[in-house]
Amino acid sequence: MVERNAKGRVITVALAGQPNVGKSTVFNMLTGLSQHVGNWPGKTIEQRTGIYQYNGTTVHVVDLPGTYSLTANSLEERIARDYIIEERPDVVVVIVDASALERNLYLVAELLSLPIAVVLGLNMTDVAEQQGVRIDPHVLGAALGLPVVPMVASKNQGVRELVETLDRVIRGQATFAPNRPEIRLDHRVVLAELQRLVAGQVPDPYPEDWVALKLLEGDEEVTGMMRERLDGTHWEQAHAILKRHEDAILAVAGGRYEWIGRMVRAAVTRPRAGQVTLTDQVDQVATHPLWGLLLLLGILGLVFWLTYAIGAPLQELLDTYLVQAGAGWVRETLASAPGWLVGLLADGVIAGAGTVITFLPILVIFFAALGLLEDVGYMARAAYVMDRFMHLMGLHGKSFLPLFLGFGCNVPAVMGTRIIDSPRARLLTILVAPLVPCTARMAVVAVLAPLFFGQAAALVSLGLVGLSLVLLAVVGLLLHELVLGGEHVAFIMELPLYHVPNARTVGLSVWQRMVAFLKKAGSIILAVSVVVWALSALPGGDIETSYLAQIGRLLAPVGALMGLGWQMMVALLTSFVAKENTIATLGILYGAGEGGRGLGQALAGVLTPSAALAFLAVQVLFIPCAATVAVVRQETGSWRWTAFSVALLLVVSFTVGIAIYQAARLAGWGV
Amino acid sequence: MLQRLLEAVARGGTHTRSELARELRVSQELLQEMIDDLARRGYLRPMGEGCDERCAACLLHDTCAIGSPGRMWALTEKGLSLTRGTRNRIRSPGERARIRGERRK
Repeated sequence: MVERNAKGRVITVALAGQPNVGKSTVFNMLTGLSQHVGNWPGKTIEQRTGIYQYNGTTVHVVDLPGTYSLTANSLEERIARDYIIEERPDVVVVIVDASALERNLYLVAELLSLPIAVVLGLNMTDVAEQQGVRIDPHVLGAALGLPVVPMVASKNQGVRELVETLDRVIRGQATFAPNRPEIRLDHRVVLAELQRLVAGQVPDPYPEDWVALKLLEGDEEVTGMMRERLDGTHWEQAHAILKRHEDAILAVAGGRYEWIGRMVRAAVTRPRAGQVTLTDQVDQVATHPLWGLLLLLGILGLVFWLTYAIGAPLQELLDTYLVQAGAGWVRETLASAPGWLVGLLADGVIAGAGTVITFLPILVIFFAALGLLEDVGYMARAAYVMDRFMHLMGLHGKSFLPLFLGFGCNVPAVMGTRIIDSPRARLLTILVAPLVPCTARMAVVAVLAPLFFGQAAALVSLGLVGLSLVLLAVVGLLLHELVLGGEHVAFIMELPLYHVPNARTVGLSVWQRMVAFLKKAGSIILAVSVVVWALSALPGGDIETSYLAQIGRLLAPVGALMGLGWQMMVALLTSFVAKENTIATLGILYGAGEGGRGLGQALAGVLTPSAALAFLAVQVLFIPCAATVAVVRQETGSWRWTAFSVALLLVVSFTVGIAIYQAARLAGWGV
Repeated sequence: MLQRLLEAVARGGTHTRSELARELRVSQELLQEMIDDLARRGYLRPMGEGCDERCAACLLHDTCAIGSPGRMWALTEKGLSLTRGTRNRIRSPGERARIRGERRK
């Protein structure tokens, strides 16, 4: 609507754009001091207008509210689109952030469905350049069919060019042949049908095509307007179409994204550098279905190897010089003290809580490796690679992460399930988490397996880990299908960029974990060790008649099925307190001295190899330690599920133990 | 495009952004726009960044080795119902039983 007054031509330009694209800066640059600030008619939202003159033209500039689209989602969006439709500015300048072109082009796509001239101000090209995004404005202009002006408004670059371009557009000297988004073929027919129904019924100044499109999008304002305007039969027909195509918004918006994709492919290059390229290259292997899995297995193998190759000898050293020496020192120093006090300190406190502390090196190494993997950004990849397997249990890859922690300790594994969003998936992960063999259980296996199996101990240990994981999968699968019911799992996951690990971050996390572990050893474990010692010493001081023995004898019938005597069952039972107690208990019960010296000979006399294998299997699969059970209760918030978890593991461990022993007997092996 | 994205996700399992962007031949930035759009319209559901508010109360919060494995989005029932062609393949027997149960109600 180009007017002429005495001084020359007068035109109106509206500035559109998403929030934070520098639209206000452009407005200030264009209008300088000649601004007027008021409110949009009848609204509390600020309206800014201004004037500039160029080449004999007076240009009224109207700053529209910042909006992401032109759907009547918010007051701002309604103001912007009502202004464009009702006031019909001569040109709409849409300012876009070049560093977020994909997001910004959506508004452009919407603007192009209106019969107005559009000029694109490609702002913040400097930021885009810094982020490695290169946009060719000429190619973008040609693809869009619009004039495109590259700008850095904050540095007053491109504002003059924008003014010149606007002048050329007004004089009809610039090409404006927009390449508009199209909707999917199957919905084009539907749109045509709607256009036919609304033809001649749309109130001025709304464009009919636009109204039909907005109806298909389910725009509430336009729908309300047309419900009033259309006569009964036409509205019913239109309504029936809309009802049938409730999800047509996906076709309409999808068409816009398709269009954005075309524009971006034409004009944008991202010569990715540094972190991004490295991440892409590493991920070609790290997230590959086969190589990714092999890499994960390799990394896991390395972590365990480091943990046991370095940690286990350190554990033995601590055992010798801390626990054994400490107990010996107590006995010597307190030789004249009452027997119960010596027993309490040497056999209860030091043998119980002290032994647990010896596992510190193993935990430190394991958690340092884990912290490193997390800091590098590998954990998300591990979750992704494991996803297909977790998927079989109705879980997603994220559940793998707490389970992975379980190899260190089941307590953080159960707590770690907090990262799982779905309550059902979380419960399932908590229920299977104790089947991950933790360092404490593996330490017991590491001590006992060589006593029974000599050279084959490593093989037996590996077999036990494999058995645990297979059972984890089987139990998970059964729980998924039978108890909890399936849940559809389909996710999109964002993999963070890799980065160089920070020694301080890793060190700090290991330190904090170490402190937490020592606190636990100094409180809960210490208390329970004392209780267990008391049960083994009361009432008469003789272990054979102690309360512990009475409890063990109750379990003897089950033990008999696995070739295990009541002592072995008690050892198993005390592992409930802390897994390491198994060794300590066996030491006490077989009177073979502390820490397992000479325990081998004693055990060889009472256990057959098949019973020993059954015992190790039960030991690995048995109810987790008290701390884990407590955490299961805390995290599930239910005694019922906690009881279920305990019962489940009892059934699983005894079933496997009995099956191994009986099968070996039938096969005539190790009897 | 949005429909194709939903269908790709509805095949089940976890997809990475780069994998989906490659499949749809769009930039990862555009894919993110579409994900956000589908989330706004209720076809996808954002799942909290790695560890949500539950983790804030966790005793291990400061030392958690799981950290923040990136943002995730889950396909919603609404999104699933749009991808009829692929729907039956991904249902597990447990889920089918549950749906039958709901129908009976």
